[in-house]
Amino acid sequence: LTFVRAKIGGWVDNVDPISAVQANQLTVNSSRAIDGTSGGEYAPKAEGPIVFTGTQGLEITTGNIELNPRYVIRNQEFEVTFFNPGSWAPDLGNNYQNLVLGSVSFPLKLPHGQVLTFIEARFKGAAGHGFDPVNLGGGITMPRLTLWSVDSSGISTLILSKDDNVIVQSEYESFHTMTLGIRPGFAGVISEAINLTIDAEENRYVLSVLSEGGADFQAGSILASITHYTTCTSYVEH
Amino acid sequence: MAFSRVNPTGYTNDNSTITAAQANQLDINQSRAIDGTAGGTYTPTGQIIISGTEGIRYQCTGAGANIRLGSRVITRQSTMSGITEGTGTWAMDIGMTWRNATESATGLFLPLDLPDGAVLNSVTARYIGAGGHVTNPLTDPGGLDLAMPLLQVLSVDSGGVATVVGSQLDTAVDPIDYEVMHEITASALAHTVLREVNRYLVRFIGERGAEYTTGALLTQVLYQATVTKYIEH
Repeated sequence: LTFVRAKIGGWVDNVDPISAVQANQLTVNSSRAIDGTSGGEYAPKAEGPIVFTGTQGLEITTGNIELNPRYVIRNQEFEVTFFNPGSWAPDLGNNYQNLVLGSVSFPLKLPHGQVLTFIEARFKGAAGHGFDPVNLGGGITMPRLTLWSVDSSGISTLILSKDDNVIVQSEYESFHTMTLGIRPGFAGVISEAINLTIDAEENRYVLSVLSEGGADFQAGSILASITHYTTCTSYVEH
Repeated sequence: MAFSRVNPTGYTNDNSTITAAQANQLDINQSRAIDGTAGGTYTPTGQIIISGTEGIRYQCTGAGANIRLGSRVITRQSTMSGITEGTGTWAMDIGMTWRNATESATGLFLPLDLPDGAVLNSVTARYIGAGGHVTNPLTDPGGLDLAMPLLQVLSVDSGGVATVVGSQLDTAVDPIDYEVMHEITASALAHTVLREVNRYLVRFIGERGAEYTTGALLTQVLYQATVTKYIEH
């Protein structure tokens, strides 16, 4: 609730005493007000949020509004991409189907200054493999996710790479999740963490997906989605 | 820090005195409090933290419809996703860098994701000319051996009509500069971005002419814009 005056008409010297009710209202209001000098923490109650109306609003002179760190999860659009000619093809739903051994690359739209934590891709191996993919050593080389940073000279720097680690054929040939980094809230191997602070001023970021290969290669794998997890600690301008 | 009550147990009529310390504290507190009616400028020495589940709802209109920012210039990279105007003129490699394959007066189209309401100041292409040029591109006496690469910034309206917001020819003057990464910048654009009615893109045309050499690279496209507010999306 917004504050109201403790005495609407105001006090007059030597005429109006300050009643206890008025004094208490003043002190309660004061204790609830936002301190614009020293800051502080405020937890608006069930009366509702702090609402700004009118035409003036708020202005942040420098910096950005900070956020309590939170994971922002976004599906990445499958924009026009690089792929070895003939190796991948988009279908009607803009999923990418693998035809022959090769890579497909997607630009990642990531918020400047935040920390990229985790990437997952939903992938389904083609049917018809004769073996469990990993257990039979050499039947196929597993699909691979690779995260790149690309600088002003077009030089790609490898950030992290990881193979699909499904080991059972039936799981591999169903939709499953390929991962890069450590999923928030889960334990993991530190060396597999991404923890990349995004510099969208100087770099762009690309995720490439290398298809399976090897003697037991089967055409028809499907890449259905890419999702990235970013630890956001502030709003950014764009 | 958040204010606390100057008299936690409260006053009672005919039984309480407001001390000078309490009155002074009230006065100091109100002088520091954020004025929700008339506004004002505040420079907190500590963070103002809003916790709990209610937060802030922003329903201002007009000039204050979005949280305003002190004017600032941001730089952002394009994703380099795009499409060629002509067939076979440019090809993308695995790092999503574009490589010029054939000589053509047609371009490479790269959409720009610009913040609505911002003022677009400049767009820069980072470019590496192919190796092997003999004469200085711009100082060749004939002046026709090489038509230099051209960067155009386009605004396209709902009818598909493209308007050139700005453009810049490559100004590298000798092969030493031209065949390493250098920038081609369309500057002083001063264009207010209107995403509700327009879309924006870069059209990049590679070198042409008698001394055309295949293999130039377009490595990055970035923009600078002055922003004064957060936008929803």
